Amino acid sequence: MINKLSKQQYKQLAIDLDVIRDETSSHIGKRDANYIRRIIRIQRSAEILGRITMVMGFIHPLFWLLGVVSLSLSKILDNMEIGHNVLHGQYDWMNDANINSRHFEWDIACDAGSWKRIHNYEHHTYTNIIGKDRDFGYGLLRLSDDIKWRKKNLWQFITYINLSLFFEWGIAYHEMAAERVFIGQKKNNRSSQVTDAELKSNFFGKATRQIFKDYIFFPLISGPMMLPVIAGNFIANIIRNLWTATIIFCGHFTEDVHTFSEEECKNESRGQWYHRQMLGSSNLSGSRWFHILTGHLSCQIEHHLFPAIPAHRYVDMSIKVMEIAKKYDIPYNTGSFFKQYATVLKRVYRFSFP
Amino acid sequence: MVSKVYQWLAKALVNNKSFKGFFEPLVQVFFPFWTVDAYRAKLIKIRDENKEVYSLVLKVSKYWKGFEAGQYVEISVEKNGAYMSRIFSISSAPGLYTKSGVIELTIRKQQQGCITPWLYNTLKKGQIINISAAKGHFIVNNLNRSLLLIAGGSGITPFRSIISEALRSRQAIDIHLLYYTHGIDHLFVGELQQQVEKCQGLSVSFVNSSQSGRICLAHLQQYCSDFKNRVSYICGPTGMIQATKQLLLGSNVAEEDIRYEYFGPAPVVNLDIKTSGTIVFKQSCIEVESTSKKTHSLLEIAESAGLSPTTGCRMGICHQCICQKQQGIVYNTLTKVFSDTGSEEVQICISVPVGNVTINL
Ligand code: FES
Repeated sequence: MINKLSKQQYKQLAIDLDVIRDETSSHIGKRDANYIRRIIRIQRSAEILGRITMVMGFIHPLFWLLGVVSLSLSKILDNMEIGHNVLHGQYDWMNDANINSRHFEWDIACDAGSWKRIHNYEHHTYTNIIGKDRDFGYGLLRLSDDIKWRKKNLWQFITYINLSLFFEWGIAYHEMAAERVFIGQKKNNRSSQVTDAELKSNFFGKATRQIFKDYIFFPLISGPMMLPVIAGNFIANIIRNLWTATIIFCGHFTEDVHTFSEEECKNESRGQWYHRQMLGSSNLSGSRWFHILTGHLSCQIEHHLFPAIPAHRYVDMSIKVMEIAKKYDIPYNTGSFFKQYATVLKRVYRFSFP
Repeated sequence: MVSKVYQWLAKALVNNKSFKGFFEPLVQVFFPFWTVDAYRAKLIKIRDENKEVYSLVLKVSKYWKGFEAGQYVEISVEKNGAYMSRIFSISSAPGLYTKSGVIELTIRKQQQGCITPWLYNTLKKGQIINISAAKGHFIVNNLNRSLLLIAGGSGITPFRSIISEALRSRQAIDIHLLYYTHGIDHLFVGELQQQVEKCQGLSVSFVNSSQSGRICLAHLQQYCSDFKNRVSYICGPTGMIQATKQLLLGSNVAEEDIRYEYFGPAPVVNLDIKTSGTIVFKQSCIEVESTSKKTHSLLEIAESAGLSPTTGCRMGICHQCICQKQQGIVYNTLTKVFSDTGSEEVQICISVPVGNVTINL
């Protein structure tokens, strides 16, 4: 069970973690700006290269393959290391008109505004609180005994695979599902800042643009390569979906990740909030490129503790965070990708049954 | 219509408000700091006007749209990875620009400021900086009327441009410049004196307010007895503008004959989060006095003024509450740093205003 700290310890924990944060933020500057601009350049180049080489598939199919790989890479970088982190406001201090959380829009079906509400606010504030963090199982999967078992959970492993394949649409529809825009009864404790009409128009607007881009515009201008381009874009989207879903599941749904009840978290102090973030997240170890491709969500624990610090700094911060975890005897959940992922699958399977 | 389609296409194909925005980071490989929304200008030289004041002489890109005497530009430079921007009046004449593509910005080194001294020390000859299109309505549109120009301190900058341009027009003019400084030297003295010699219709009074006191009715009568019949232009510190405006109104000068332009507030010297001030919510046209007794976040102040800004976590993590701060200093309770004075985006839930702050809400 979770080992509770004393009031004094919680206070000290908050101070210790704040020190790490302040230490890192005092160094934020040119290096971080250069870093994100470089990643954006790589992403833009990969996208351009991908779209062009895919059409050159008529010369040799290998070009098409290269195009698909390149476009997938572009989408993954755009969503993970760039989009996710920029939308978290990690680079707002740059005052760059295009690299900031207010204006950035990403290459994914989910409208950035909706994502900021659900993810930045709900998920990061109420991490793993059953009933408040709608990211926990996405309302589709039962991943804890605290959630009532239903018959549909029996086949939730298949639901899980489908969710992963079409993850971007799951995310895009997430807020509307939660707000019961189309089906179901309105919950009365919701205080949404946007109207249903806005939700709908944002959703359909973004969806139309994404579909237009990948399945109408680029295929049409590819002439005879139309069908291969449609297929290539589709595959690139699926690869990105699988990757993002898998990484995100590894961040919160591994075996030893804790969940919380609304009761427990009433009036929690900053120290308790930090504590909950550490218990509710799990890390992945890997090489530098692996971290970048995960958008540094491989350092989910650090990300949850310090969501506004530029993510490429998490790897260095994790050493100190680990020391602190040790000091307070808080479990620090980390492991290799395959080890962690195996426990995710186990969790999805295990809670299929009552 | 065409531009709507273009915008929609840019949004759809590259998730950007324009195609240029998508390519911006790539272009920056070849042209550092190139941005879509700014023009580029090359620094020809930095000229010292005196110990505290310097002028940037800039050769502006040929795409720049030009300016009228009295207007200002926003310049933006990168300081440790962050774009910092400041507004400065153009102090040179449009004539110079049409002839040579050069403009001058005259800048006072604010002792506590984080930009003006830094610019002076860091900028190198040949360096490229970004500037905006010229903006502002502090323009003389009728030289047939007699003018009274009242400058306070660095408020002389737009007048230098206005006067040079008026002389160049070769029109018969009647301009009196009343130029106050407090403790520091007057700028452009030699140049102004030469112009006075050359042109009948121009006269200048240099006033040192540490000796003769601030502007008052006696001054106006003494230096420019027919001030009531002139169109007055005032540029300088906020307090001076307000005082002068009252004086003129009190002497029955018509409101439309009084034009003025505020400079941004000077940097606060003693940074203390308990500094009181006026919080202006620009879009809703609400002004609130913040007291020095208790510190409240901008969000709390906005809410108690009846506004309901977008919020989420209220603890600085979700970035939902971001607003554009136009001017003033705020203290970030999370990172424990004081902001810059210029315009930037702030999370209002964790920002405590320090002194006067204008926010776009
Ligand atoms: S309300 Fe979440 S950052 Fe201000």
